[in-house]
Amino acid sequence: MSSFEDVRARLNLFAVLPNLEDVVRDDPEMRALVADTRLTVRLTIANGPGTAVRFDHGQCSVGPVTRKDEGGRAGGDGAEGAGGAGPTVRLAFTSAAHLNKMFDGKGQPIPYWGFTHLGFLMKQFTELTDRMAYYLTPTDELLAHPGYLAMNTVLTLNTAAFAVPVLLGHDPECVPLRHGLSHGTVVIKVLPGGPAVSLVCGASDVLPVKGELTHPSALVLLKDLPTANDFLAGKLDTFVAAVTGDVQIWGRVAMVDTLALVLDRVGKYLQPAATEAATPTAAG
Amino acid sequence: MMDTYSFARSQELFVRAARVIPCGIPGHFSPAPLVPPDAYPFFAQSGKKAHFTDADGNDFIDYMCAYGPMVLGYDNKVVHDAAAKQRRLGDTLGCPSPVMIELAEKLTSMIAGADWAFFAKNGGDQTSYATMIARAATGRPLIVAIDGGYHGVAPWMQGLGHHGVLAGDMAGFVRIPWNDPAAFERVLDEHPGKVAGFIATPYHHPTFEDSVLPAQGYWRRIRELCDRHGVVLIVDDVRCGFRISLRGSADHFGFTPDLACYCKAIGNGYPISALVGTEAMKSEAARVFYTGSYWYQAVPMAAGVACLAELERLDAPTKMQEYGKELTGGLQRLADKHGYELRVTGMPSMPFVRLADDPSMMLHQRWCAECTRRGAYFTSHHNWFMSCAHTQEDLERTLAIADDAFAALEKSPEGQGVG
Repeated sequence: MSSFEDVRARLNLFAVLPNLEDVVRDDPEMRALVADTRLTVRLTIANGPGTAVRFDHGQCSVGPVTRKDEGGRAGGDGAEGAGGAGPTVRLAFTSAAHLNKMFDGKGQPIPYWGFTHLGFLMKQFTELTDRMAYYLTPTDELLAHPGYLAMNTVLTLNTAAFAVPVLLGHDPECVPLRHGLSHGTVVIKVLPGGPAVSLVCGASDVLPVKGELTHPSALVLLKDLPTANDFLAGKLDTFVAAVTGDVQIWGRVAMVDTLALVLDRVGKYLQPAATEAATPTAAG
Repeated sequence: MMDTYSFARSQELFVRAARVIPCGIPGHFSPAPLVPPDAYPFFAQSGKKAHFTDADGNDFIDYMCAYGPMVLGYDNKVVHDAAAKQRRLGDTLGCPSPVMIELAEKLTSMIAGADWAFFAKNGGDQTSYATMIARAATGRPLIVAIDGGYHGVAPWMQGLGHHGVLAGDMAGFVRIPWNDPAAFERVLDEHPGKVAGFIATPYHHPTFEDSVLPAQGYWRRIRELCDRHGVVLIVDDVRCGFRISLRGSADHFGFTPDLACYCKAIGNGYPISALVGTEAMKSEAARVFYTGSYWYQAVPMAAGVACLAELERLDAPTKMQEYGKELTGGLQRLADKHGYELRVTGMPSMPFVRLADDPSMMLHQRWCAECTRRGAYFTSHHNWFMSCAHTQEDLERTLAIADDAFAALEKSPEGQGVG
């Protein structure tokens, strides 16, 4: 069974870091920052999991390391890869705790490949991750701004969704809950028009998807952005909200019950803030 | 189309309750799984026979029966009179009342294989006590239970991952699938000499899912394995008890447990539960210290004696099974008429009903909501309960409501109101 630091590192890699995609897409300043960048930043824990952050001319995608991401290595230091998002910068972490320290803003990785791109790591990548941390570190004052509220809600919703497979796979208290999820898709959507996330539950895994998939087995509908924000921040009594209509649940309620138990565990790893945790200041 | 109810007073009361009570209404009475909640009453103000009246004055034909206890009907005179007579004598006194013996004698005379009875308040009191007795009797640690089987709310009954449950709480429990004696055999092989008890409901009646009756020979095989390995066989008859057979549901399914837990139908709403057991388990039960402040209340015991006698007089299980068959058969015919498939599982006296046309259950939730708005109290997530108080008039009214509710579904395009 995974340790606390292992689970937290996986959450940072697979639930928090994918928010960079939204920051680059939705924040014009950040999009401009990487408008001319074609580069892959690969983060790897020794004897552990890793992920790749790919920048491609104003777009960002975060996902599992693929053979394409190995291109940088094949082509030499920082060389153009074979089909990946440009050259690869590799950031190594000696342990899960080492990676978590970086996300806490208290540690630095070891860049062992792609030294010629250290400038990107120190400037653009750090600015991006700082901005992500800003969006994930709400205060009442910040949340009073509609734009911030929307961004914080989107990122928190994403983090919650992408945390589900990590926790079901590695959190000792969530692993037994896996059998409580039948096949089907659970959509969590902010009314009236989104944002939304979908969780596709299969025989052996749960796939989180940004956006709303069709034909859900269960729907969790959040009345509006402020309600969604309170719901995701754990400020809402969800049992009461489900009755008053602030949160509407339809369909396979048992799936929602199980997911609620899983989501209740996110805070154990990412609080006191998805906030502090979301600060991968790569170059220190 | 029929008029539909509104629930302004219930909703107002809920907001008030939520200020001072966690969840507003916690536990199995929480409206959270009632989908959509705005189609349901949250507070009841009175009940009579198979009907209750909510805080807004709406009248419902009740198919949840307070989640089981209401077996003779609300405000039953026979039970109330017996309770009132005992109340005049005393309720919680310095010693138990003789009516405790009377109730134990009644239960042991009714239930096949029961030689003694022990009283508490809730079903969960008895399922926990039964597991303690099994461990005391065998000197072994493990209890085998069924995936999705409900036995109450103690940590071991909820499972790891639920709030307030520790890994240590689950250490002595193994869950296996229903209707799978081979899985039980594997546990016995993997933990030789370690399994103290096997606990299950007479048939599988989880929430949110179809009920599943025991496969042919299932209980016989489980009984054989328990006997061969010295395992105590515990039946949780809390929900089914006296709605299938007055001799106990195990008798209906052709086996005799070592211990059996009863609650809901004993007292027609008066708080009382019972564990009954075989003579071989009696001295073991005596060794396990187990008690509660109000477990010797005489009024619920007197109510229990009267209720059980009424259940016998009315041949209650037969009456409830027949009503359940008529109800579900009528609903299936209506569903068919409107182009839907209504699936009915479990025993007719406590059927699990769902519209099978939509695996997400959203269609079924909308139909149950439409029925409830018209006065037939149907939940979509739990088996329903029949009572001896449901009448032919109730049946006809329910079917008329269901017909109108199906028509309402047709008028409302799929998914309208959802999302």
